[in-house]
Amino acid sequence: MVSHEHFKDQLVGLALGELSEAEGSEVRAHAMECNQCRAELRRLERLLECAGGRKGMSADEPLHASAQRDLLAAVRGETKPKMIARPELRRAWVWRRIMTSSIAKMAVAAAVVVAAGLFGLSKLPTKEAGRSPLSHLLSTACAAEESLFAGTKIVHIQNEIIVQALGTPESVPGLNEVWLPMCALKPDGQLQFHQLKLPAAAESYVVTDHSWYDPVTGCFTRVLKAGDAVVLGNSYDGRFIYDATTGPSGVVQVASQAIAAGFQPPQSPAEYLGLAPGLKTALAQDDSMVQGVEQGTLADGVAVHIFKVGMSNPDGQVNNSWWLFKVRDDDTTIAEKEFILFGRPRLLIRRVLTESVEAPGVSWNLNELEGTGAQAAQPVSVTPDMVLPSVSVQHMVERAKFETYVFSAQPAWTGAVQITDCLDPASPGSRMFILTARAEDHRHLVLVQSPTYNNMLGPVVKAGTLVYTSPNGFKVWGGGPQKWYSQILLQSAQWFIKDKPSEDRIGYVLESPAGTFPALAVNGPVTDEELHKLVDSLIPAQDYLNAQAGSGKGQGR
Amino acid sequence: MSDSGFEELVNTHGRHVLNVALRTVRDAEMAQDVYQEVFLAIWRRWSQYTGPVHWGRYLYRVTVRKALELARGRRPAAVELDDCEPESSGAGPDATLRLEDLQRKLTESLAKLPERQAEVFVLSRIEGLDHAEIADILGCTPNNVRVSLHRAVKQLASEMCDYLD
Repeated sequence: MVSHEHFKDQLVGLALGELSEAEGSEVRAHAMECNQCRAELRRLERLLECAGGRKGMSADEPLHASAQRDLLAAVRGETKPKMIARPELRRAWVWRRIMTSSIAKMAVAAAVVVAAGLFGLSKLPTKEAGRSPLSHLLSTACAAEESLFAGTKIVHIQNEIIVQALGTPESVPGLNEVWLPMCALKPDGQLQFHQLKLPAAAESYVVTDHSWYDPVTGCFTRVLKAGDAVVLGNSYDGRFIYDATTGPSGVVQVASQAIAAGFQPPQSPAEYLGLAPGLKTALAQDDSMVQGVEQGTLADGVAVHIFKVGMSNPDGQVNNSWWLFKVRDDDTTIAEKEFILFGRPRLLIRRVLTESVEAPGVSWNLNELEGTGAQAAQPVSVTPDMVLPSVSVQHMVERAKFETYVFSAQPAWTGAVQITDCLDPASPGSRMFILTARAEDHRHLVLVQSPTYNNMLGPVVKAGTLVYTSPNGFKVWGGGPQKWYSQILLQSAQWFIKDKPSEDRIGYVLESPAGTFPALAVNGPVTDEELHKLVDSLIPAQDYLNAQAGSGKGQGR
Repeated sequence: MSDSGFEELVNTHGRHVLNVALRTVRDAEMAQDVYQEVFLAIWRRWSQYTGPVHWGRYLYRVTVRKALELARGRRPAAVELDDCEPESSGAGPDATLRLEDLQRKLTESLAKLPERQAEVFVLSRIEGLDHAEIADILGCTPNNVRVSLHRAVKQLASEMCDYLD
C-alpha cells in the first residue's frame, strides 16, 4: 500500500504540473481523502497562483522613462547615481506610481469622450465674456479657419497626418497606435465620429487628407488616403451624403443616403473639415484646457504662437497627452497641430495647401473612388462610431463585454437617464458606457462603466475610503482623487449636461458585485440618503431588461 | 564598444530589465534601483566587453540576482503600509488587501530562500521559462533546476503557511 508520506512528497510535483495524468489522479484522490494533504495542496496551488499573478506586470511608460532618464543622466555624470531609496517613503511612493499609472490609463479611456467634445459633438454658444486671454487668441485662430471656407470659389485644402516613428514596440496603450477622432457628416446634418487607427511604425508615414468645399452650395468632398489606399471618404452633393469605405477585400465601396428633411449641417465647415474641428466648441466648454502659449517658428521659418491644449491631472499639471496648436503670426490660421503622448510627439497634422479651384479633385458623389483598391504600407483603419449617443439598455447589454448596471428607477433629483456608447481606447476593441442624467439644480449625474476602469480602478479604490456598502452588494469608495476623476467624468458628458464641472462636484468609485468598477460623479453635493438610494437602485442591466420586458419603458430608449 | 552602443543596449533591453525587476520585487521604486544598478555595473565595465555578449541571457541572470539582493536588504514591508492604508475600511479585510499581503509576503519569503532556489523560482514561476531555458541562463543542468524549484516551492509554502491558508 502506498503511504501517506509518498503522496505528500508528490504534492509539489502535482502542483507544478509535472505528474502524469494517472499519477496526478492518484495523488489528487488521496488529497481528497486526507485533510493534511488537501490543505497542503491548496497552499501550494495558492502560492503558485500568487507567483503566476505577477506574470502580467509590466512597467508603465512614465516609470520606464524615469528609470532610463535617471540612468543616462548618471552615466553622463550629470547627477550622482540614485541608490537605494528611503524605505519609510517607499510605500507612499509606490502608491503614487500605481495611481499615476491607473489614472493615466483611466484618462486615456475618458479622453475619447472628451475628444468627442473637442471635435464638436455638442454645439454650445461661444462664450466671450470671462474668456482667458490665451483662449481668446486661439478663438481668433478658429475664426481665421472659418474664413478659409468663405468666398465664392471652391476651396481645396490638403493636410498631412504624419504618424511619427516609434522605435521599439511598447506595451503602453496609445503608443503602439494612435487613435485620431474623425468627423463625418450624416444625412440628418449631424456629425458622426469615427476613430482613425494609425499604427505606430519604425519609420514615420503620412496619411493625406484632401477636402474640397463649395461655399455657394455647401457641397463638399473629403478623402483620406494612406499611400494610394482610400481610408475614408465623406461627401455631400446637395441631395445625398456619400460614405466611402474599404472592405476586407481592399476594394472601395461608396454608399449614399438621401439627406433627411430639415437637413442642416454645422454652420461652418470648419467644424468638420480642416485643422480645427470642434476646437471652438471645446473652448466654449472649458477654456481652462488651454494650458499655455509660447512663440516658435515652423520648419519654413514662419513665426507661430504654439498653444498647449490638454486636461489637467490631480496635481494641476497637464496630463500625459496634449495637443500643440501652432498658429501663424501672419494670418492667424492654424498651420499645424501636434499630438504629444507621454512626452513623445505621436502625430503631426499640418496644412500643406490651401487654394481656390474650379472643380473638386474628387466628385461630390465620390464616383471616382467606387471599386478602386490599393494596398497601404501601413494598415490604417477606421473604427466607426466612436461615440453613439442615446442608446438603449438592450444595446448596452449586447455590446458590453462585462456586466453593466442601470438605475432601476430614475434618480430622485434628476431627469431621465441617457446612455452613451463610446469607444474605450485604452482597452482596444471594447466599448465604454456613460449613463448621464441632467438635473434642474445642476447636480447632473454621470456613471461610467468601462473595461479600462474595471481593470485599473483598484488602486484608486484603495486610495479612498469605503463610505457605504449597499444591500445590493455595491461598495462605494469616496475620497482620494475624487475631485479629479469626477471632473473627467463630468467633462466626458459635456455634450449632454452642458454645464461645466462645479467646484463642489463629487466622485465615487463603485465596486460592483460582479467585480467591476463603475465610476460615479455628481455635479454637486449629495446627502448620504441620496447617495444610498442611488446606489441601492443599481441593478444588472440584463435584470432590468427582463423586468421591463413587455412594458416598453426604460432607460436609454 | 561606444557610448552609443551602451545607450542602444539600454534602449533594447531596458524595458525588459525593468519589467523583470518589477515582477521580482513588486515594488516600482526598488525595480528602478535594480535597473540602475544593473546597467551602471555594466557601464563601469563597458570597455571590457570586447567580444560578443548574449545580453538577453546575461541580463536575465543579473537582474533577478540584483532584485533578490535588494529585496534581502529591505526592511519588513508591513511597517511601510501605515501611511497608505485606507482611512477607514469599515468592512473588514477584503480580498484585494489579502492578495496584496500575500504578494508582499511572497517577496519577503523569496528574499529568505537560498540564492539559487529563489532565482529558479522567479525564472520558472514568475517569468514562465522552462527548465532548459533556466539552466541555460544560470549555467546549470535542467535537473538542478527541477530540484531547486521543488525545494523552493516547499520552502515558500512553509514560510508563507499563515498567508496561504
